[in-house]
Amino acid sequence: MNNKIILFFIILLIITNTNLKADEDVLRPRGKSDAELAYYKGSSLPLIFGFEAGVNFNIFSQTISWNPNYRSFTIFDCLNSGTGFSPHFGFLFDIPISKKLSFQARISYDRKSFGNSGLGTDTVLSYSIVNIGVGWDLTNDYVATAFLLRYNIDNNWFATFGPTIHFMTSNLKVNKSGNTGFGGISPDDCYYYQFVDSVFLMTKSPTMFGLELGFGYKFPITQDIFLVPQARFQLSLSQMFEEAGINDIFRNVSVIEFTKRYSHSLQLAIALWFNI
Amino acid sequence: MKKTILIIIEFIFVSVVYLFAQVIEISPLNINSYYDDFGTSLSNHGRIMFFTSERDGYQKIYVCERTSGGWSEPVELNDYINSGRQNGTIGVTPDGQYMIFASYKHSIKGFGRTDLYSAHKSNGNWGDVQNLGVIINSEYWDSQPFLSSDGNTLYFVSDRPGGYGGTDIYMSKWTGRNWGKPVNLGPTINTEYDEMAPIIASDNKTLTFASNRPGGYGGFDIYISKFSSGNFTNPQIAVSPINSSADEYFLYPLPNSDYAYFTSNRSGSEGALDLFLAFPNPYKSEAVVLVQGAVKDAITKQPLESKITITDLKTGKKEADFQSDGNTGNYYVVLQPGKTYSLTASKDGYLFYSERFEIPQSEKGHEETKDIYLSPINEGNTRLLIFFDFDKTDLKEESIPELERVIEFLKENPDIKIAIEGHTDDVGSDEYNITLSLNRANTVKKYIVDAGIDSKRIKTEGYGKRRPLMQGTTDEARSKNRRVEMRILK
Repeated sequence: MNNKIILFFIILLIITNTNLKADEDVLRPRGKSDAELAYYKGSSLPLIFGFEAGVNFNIFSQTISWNPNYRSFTIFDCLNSGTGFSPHFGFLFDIPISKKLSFQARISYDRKSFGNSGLGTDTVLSYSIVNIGVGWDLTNDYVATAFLLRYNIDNNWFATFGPTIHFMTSNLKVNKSGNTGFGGISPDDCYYYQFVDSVFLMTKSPTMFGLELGFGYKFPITQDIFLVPQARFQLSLSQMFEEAGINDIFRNVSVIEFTKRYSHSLQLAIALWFNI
Repeated sequence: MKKTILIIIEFIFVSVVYLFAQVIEISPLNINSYYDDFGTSLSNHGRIMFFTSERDGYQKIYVCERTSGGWSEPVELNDYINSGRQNGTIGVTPDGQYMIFASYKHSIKGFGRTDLYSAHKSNGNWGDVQNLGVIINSEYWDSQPFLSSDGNTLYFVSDRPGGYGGTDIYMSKWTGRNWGKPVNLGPTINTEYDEMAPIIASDNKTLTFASNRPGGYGGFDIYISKFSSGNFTNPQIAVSPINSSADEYFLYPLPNSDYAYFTSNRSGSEGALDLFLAFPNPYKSEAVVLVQGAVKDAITKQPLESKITITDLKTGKKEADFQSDGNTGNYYVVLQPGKTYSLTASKDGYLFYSERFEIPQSEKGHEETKDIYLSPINEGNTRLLIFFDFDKTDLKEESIPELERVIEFLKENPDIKIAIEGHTDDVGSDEYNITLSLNRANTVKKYIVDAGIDSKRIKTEGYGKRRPLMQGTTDEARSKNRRVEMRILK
């Protein structure tokens, strides 16, 4: 059985190599030389496998609105936005459609981290106002998939465009820190400080949909291997966290609402592509 | 001591040679691709470039136009041309209306492997693709055609048996109806190695080709030979940096220019074979005269596709037979200086146009514009035919092509009747000149009737000196007035 399999592969190899032998053309009566064939094999619509790693610059923003019937505090002002760097890595397949166009599918581990800090006000025991310094950072891990069309601008430059889907892997971590500046008052004594992490932890979205636009450049290392730096922007079309609020449980009225909770990323990557 | 002096002299000599040597600049063209781009052939006096490219996965013929910003984006020729599995290497006439190209497995069946095909441009579109036939094509590999600037000589490459080994360069002459039997260029040009990529410059004397014979810079190198006294001279290898350790082919010297295009797979451009420009070209061809113009309707000024023939009046040989572009009316032709030519243009429904002009030997290397206006055939239209020597009625040898054109016109238009009108200069009495002018008209009529035209269709008239073409008594005026004209009667 094993011998039959080996024989099959030998025959397949012979057929493949026979097909690679070029016919004559208008320049070469005996067809292309082996070196020319190798060059053209490298340039003739290859299937590409690649892996890559890089860094995200994440930009998070949300809209926070207070119920005007309630006294508002500024402790959440630093939650309006957050930025941060995080890694990503993955692999891809690039399937040629024509010389100019190919379809690219990418799967990657994609971490989104961002945070912010600032000074604000909070309340202790619902009657005294304290100044509080708040810091927070968040880390969320995803398996990201991208389904892209890649357009070859020339032999080296290319652009990519297509949808992305991020699947959350349940590793959301939020760290917070606070400082009231008063020895006797702990941040945990402050009423709204307790919600700084929970407004993220309790409302995470399991999937995010988005669009990606990118540009890259193929540096040939060998005939079949390319070093490919890329820059791309991932625009999130769905919210990273579900819209949420903090309620007055006695009156069953929303005091604060967190809406438009999007995270976009500028992604830098360096990839190795292999013509296969 | 002697040895030291010799070394110093040698050093000084080499230094002087180096200082005064021309540096040849090589630059890649902006139309190159990552794939093979090769084999330039230019028409319209260097304004249009045809070349072969494999950018689409197969060899195809592309065309682009010279603009102020370089060459325009190449456009693939239509599927009538590019219908083979591999197509390319083009020989095109200077007017860009006729080409010969090579194709492997063309949709029009050939005689063997790669064959040569011809195509015409009509109303701006390439078509009328035909296999060049069994006289030119063999069952072997026949490719890389190139046409001389007069369109009368075809050079191509073949690996058919009977050569000197590998691929050889062959030549065929246009007989007036078809291409003659190919002749191997012989051992001066061909060797046991591969010779290919022949290009005959616009002077029809400078031949460039590529060969992988030993003694070169590596791979295929470009060689130059001159046609002199009926033979090609021993080829001279082109210097570096035109040649390099990579392959070089298709050196195309631009007429009346210091530039030359060539093909190479050297590094420094997009990859594979690419097109390069060399300046200054140390292998310039001899200067020629580039004649161009447009054929238009004399009344509407609309461009016309017209048949144009240029004849050497001394030898009677047709130097060029071509047509103007159907869309623009433009025509382009390359002429050798030191000759007197007759230019005739004709089109169905129009009275033919003819002009005699001389290009002195001294007028090398310039461009000349001759616009042609054709008049629809109408009663009363007049065409100047021929001139006579003083007091003579016999036809000059150089008048014959013009009269042949009249005969052709009358055969093509059997309902037309004409008047042949004779004229003289101002020397002599009225009576004498009327008789002389009538005799001149009758001489012309006899020639036409002898060629088979019904004499009833031709009326003769003698006007003597009453209708001078040019006023005055100078020699020039008098020679212009000693003439015969043709007038359409119906």
